[in-house]
Amino acid sequence: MSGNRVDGAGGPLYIARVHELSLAQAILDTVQQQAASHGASRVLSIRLRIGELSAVVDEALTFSLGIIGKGTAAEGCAVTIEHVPWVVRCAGCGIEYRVEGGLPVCPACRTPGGATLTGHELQIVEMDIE
Amino acid sequence: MSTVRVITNILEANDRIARQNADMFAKAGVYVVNLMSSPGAGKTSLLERTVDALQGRYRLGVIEGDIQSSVDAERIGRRGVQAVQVNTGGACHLDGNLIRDALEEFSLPDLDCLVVENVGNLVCPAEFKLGEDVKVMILSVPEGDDKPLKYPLMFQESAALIINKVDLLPYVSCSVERIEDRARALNPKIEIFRVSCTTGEGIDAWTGWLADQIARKRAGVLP
Repeated sequence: MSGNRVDGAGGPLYIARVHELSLAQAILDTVQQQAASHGASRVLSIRLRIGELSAVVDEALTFSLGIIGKGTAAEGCAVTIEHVPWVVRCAGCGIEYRVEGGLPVCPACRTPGGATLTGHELQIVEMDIE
Repeated sequence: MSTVRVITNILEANDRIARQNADMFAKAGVYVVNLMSSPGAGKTSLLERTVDALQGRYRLGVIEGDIQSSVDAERIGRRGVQAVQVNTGGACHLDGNLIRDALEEFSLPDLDCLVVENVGNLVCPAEFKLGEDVKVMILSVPEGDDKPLKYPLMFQESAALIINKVDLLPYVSCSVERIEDRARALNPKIEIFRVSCTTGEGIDAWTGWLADQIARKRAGVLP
């Protein structure tokens, strides 16, 4: 995800990896349950929807899924990530806008803040199985 | 081949365990704080100050989350407060499951407030619920006033922001006003406390707020 790469103290890539590794494990658990409940032996692809606020690094997530998916029905499956922009409804004038530059400040009336409408998503949307 | 529509929150399993933890806390009337910051911002120092201010008035417990070592639990334990160390063994955040395991060490009805010191990190702890009443974050002034821009989710999710090490303001390039403006743009309801765990400045306002929260939780549970 552009502009939102994890750069926390203590080693950027390490932190990024372990964050995504936890998410990958949660995804794999759900995918395996779903595959089993549909009597599928293979998961061909998974589609995810990930909000801009989640600071997920795509490469780290797909890398993690590739490793922990080995030996499961999801081994080698394709992973597609749909990014959801951070959209806020202005607390002042009520327009909806995409947040640029890290802070929600209304481009029309300059009021800071408002309700976040999208950008928090961390969802599995669908999967192809056989 | 067939396509299965799923639409599942990736963290649903963790959220479910967090809700179970929250139910246990509600039954026991324990107020739970998830304390988050980057490494070295002063989580354990703030806890020491908080324990000193509230011990005797409230029964406190602490869960210390770290990737490894037990030095933090030892620091808190020296003050006569039960502190349980949870080592994540590499993971950069605590989750609902780790908290549930740690709770076996506590007798919840004998506590008024449990503070969970999360692993030092401004990214993922914001995402993983533990069953807490509030998230509280610390930002220390040497880290800089750009942090709300880089970690907006953490500021959005926190009920309170503690700006620590204000005694160092003359020596660092950081505007407290800018931190506050940016934090409020992300979260208009955020409570902000300027403190120094070294000098004790501002600690009373923070512990006063916390004491009020603990009392409210107890009042909500007691008949």
